[in-house]
Amino acid sequence: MVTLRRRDDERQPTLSGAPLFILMSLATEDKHGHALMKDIEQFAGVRLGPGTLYKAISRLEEDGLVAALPPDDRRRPYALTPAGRTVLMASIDYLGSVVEEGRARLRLVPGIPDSDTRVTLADADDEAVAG
Amino acid sequence: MRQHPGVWLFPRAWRARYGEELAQLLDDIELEHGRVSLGDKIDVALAGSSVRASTWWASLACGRRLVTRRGVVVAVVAAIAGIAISAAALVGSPLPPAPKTAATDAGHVSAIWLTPAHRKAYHMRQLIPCAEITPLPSWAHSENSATSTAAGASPPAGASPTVRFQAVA
Repeated sequence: MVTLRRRDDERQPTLSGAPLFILMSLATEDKHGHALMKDIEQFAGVRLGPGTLYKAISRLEEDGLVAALPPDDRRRPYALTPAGRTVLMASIDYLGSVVEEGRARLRLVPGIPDSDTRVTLADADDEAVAG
Repeated sequence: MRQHPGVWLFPRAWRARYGEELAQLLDDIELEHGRVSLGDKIDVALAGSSVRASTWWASLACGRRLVTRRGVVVAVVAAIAGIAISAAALVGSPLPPAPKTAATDAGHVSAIWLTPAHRKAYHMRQLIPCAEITPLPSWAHSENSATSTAAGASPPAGASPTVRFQAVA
């Protein structure tokens, strides 16, 4: 099941989870199922099961966000459609705004350092251990 | 192409479109890792069940299944007819016999199931199965309360003329 979430009525639907990973993987080049699975595992650290992958692909194709290309042997590659690219961009914008909001809120909470401060503290800890 | 059992959980139309690709992917995984892991088999089974359920629900929602599947229609009609026949039989049947207890011997109560009030008292006793039921008074134990009342075995003054026993919680 493709997760379609509408923030507001005037906004594009946005994706998350497996459908989002599939669109992101197809953004660079056309891929078949096995290549998609390996690429997603590489860039997202998530291994999609074969059933989950093809369930999401079938729904994305039904929604017109990906298109099947002529099969190469028994493997059929898929390509991102213009509609899929638009939804992918909207999803990434949406997730980016959520991430920014999360970062901003974390800066407001006393005692929780932001990412730059965390890096500095980690370096200090490493130096302390080394020293 | 080797047949993977979990693929058959997907609906037929889905398998016709994606079944060979999914089987090829499972073959690729098997070629890469030597076998298809249990997690992948479960994933295929769950996805297949999910797609089948959503497809079935969608077809049910638009009413096509009820119209096209004659077997379902026949089963539903048979079930409705069975319920109707059972209900008709129940409406015409007499009350079930009263359960025998120490306080309600059939010989004592047979003569007093005559009025609606008696029926109500009978059902009250059935609805309070754990209640202790006081024995019937002696004037209610006559063979025929209607005739014995006329013959002079009337209830004592102050006794209810219709309720012959009481449920004590």
